[in-house]
Amino acid sequence: VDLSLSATEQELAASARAFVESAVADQVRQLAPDDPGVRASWHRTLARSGWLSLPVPAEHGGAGATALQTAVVFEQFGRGPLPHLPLVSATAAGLLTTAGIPPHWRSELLPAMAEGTVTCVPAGLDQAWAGGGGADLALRLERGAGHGWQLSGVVPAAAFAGSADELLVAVRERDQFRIVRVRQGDPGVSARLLSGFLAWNYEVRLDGVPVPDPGVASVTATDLLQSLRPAMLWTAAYSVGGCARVLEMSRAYCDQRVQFGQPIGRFQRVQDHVIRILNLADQARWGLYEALWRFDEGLPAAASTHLAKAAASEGYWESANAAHEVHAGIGSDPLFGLAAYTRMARTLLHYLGSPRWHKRQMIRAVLHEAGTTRADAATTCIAQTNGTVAAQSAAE
Amino acid sequence: VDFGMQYTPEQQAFRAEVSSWLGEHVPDGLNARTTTPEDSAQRYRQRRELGRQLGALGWLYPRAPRQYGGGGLDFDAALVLDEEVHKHGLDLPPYYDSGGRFGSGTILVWGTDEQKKQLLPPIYTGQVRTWQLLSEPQAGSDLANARTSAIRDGTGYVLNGQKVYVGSDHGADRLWVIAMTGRAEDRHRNLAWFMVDADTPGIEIRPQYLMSTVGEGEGDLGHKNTVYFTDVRVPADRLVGGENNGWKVASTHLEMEHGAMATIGRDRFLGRLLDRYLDGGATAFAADEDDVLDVLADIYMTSELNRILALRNFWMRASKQKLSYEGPQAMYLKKVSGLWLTRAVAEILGSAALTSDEVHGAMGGFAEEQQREGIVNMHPGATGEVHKLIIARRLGLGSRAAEQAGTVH
Repeated sequence: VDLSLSATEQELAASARAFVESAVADQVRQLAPDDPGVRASWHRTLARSGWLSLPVPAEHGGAGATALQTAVVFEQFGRGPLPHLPLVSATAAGLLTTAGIPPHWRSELLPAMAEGTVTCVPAGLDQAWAGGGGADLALRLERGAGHGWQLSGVVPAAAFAGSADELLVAVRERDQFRIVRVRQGDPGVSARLLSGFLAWNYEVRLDGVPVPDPGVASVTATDLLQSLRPAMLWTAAYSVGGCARVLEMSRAYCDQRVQFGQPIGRFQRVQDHVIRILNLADQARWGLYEALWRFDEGLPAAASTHLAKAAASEGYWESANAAHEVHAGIGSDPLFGLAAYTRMARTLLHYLGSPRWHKRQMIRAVLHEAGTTRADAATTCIAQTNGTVAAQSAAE
Repeated sequence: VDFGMQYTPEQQAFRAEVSSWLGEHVPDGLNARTTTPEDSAQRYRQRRELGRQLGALGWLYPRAPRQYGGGGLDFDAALVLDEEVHKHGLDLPPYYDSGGRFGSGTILVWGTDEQKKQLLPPIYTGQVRTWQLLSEPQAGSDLANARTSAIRDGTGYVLNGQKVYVGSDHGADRLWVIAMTGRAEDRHRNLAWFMVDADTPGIEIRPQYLMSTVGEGEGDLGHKNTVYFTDVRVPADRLVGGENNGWKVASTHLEMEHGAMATIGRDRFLGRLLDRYLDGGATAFAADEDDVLDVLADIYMTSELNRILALRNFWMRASKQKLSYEGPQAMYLKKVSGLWLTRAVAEILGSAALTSDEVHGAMGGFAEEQQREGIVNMHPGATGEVHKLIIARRLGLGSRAAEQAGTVH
């Protein structure tokens, strides 16, 4: 057992943290509600630093980083909070590795995504995964008049869809998904930034968008789930970083804010809120790190991945709530900074599946594994018993 | 980051040796629920005998220094032992020995060389069982308010007072006691620790029955005790850490009791719940399938997060890292989740969770036991509120200097 980060992982985290603290934190605080959450200067740094290449496999021009290496960087982005375009892009990269995706999609998109010359995001995945099963996803993929297809319908919320060069639209058809490659600017494609608490999400309208045959792929739900698990872990990492920053802000405010003649951190009821954030943050962080370790080691990681995502999403949401209890009025002032985390906690809650959905996936994986273990043990026992009987028979 | 155990061929060979030894020496039925005082006494004798056999090999307290009768084993080897013992449903030691665990750790930090030589080997080899005596009627969360007096008299001390919530049944050989050696008004500068032989004249032990069974281990009958000291003479060399220095010494004891001595095994109760589902599906529960799965998911998640934080603490302690709030945090979460679990289990098991009836009680009566223990376990080793207070002090909330954790290694 050694739960410390390696020197490489610490260096990765430190460089990402320096970027976030110097170039992101102040700007995010001042973003207008209708800001698209994208800055050319951020993107240049992300590309130049190689951070965009972390989630991309080495054989497709990426860094071939481990899930943990990518996570320590995304954890720092979450501290910003840097608008989560890198996470959404990483999700698309994972989607592109799914069995059934044409190889030419990967060769065309992944190296360019790693370099930062193309931005590609998924659309429609949340609706499919978020417990509704996609039944209400009003997307229709139909054969066109000639060769090819026509895509119609509405994706109610897709992160950064208005800023991306390409969209990978998921259309659910019973137990499988069609993944449809749509370019920004294609006829019939439009994106509208949503107002409100959901940050940097767009309604995407697809009005008879013509798609040639090579632009449609079929993947199974199982394969898609498998390829998206790293992105679930990185989403958790974003949340873990947010929790850590919310905790720091709350601790600092406890010391600075004086009421009734003393720092508010001396009041036990205020302490309760801070301790709640501490507990949620630690649970989310260590749950995530164990899942990352299992994933990188090639161990069964389904249950721990879903646990990590659920704990981090819920933990971030509840941490932000508790931080507002600590900060009271000033916490609701966008310029103070806490509100950016609150908004991000809401935005990430359902991203790649709700906590409830992840918990159900988790317990099914646990029961499956426990049942398999018991079956293996029983088989071994039977085999040993048979062996003993056979040996006794032979002796007799 | 490495959450896994790396085992050398030598350690794998050690595992095989331990597994084989335990297979031969752990008596059958050592974890069956006891239903009569005779069963309980028999099981205690078996556990003590197993403890002595483990102690003879240095496996009872595997990480303790070999020179004092411990195993002197490294971290990974001790973990192998823990894991193998856990497979038999046991912990180390396999009986209630709170004074041995926390007392010996405290003596290692604060005791003289002579005290270590004299007091530690009997604990580490399983020759004695030791209870801890801290709480008093007026000193629960406010331990510094202990009023059991220890007055210097010639070559020793004379103890008078009353301790509550002590030990289990079947008696003890030694008592690890905090008492007042100074003036009552010199709070935090008036306490001291003593290792007292339990058969010293003037000690009276009376059963104290609580809502839970609090015996020698899971599934046992049992009770706590009230211990009275009336002019009990204790030799001066049994005072550990110095007169009126007991609050500092207590920081070590309490740090261990407050979660630094983390155990890292998987939750046996959770295992029983999962087994119940695997055996009978949702029909083995008193709720709809989706509700059962949702609650099982919450229970699993809570249990796993507790385990992972305990593993973190275990790693921090084993690698001699500086501890802060981590022990109280893990203990607090374990306590509140235990109480929460009672409701969650009752929700999906219905009345079967609330009866120990042989026919109708769920999980061989362990569900009903958890209903009681989830409540009672909120309070030993400090209440949840005290743990939160310690965490706040360790964080230094409110512009205070951050409090340091007690020394545990």
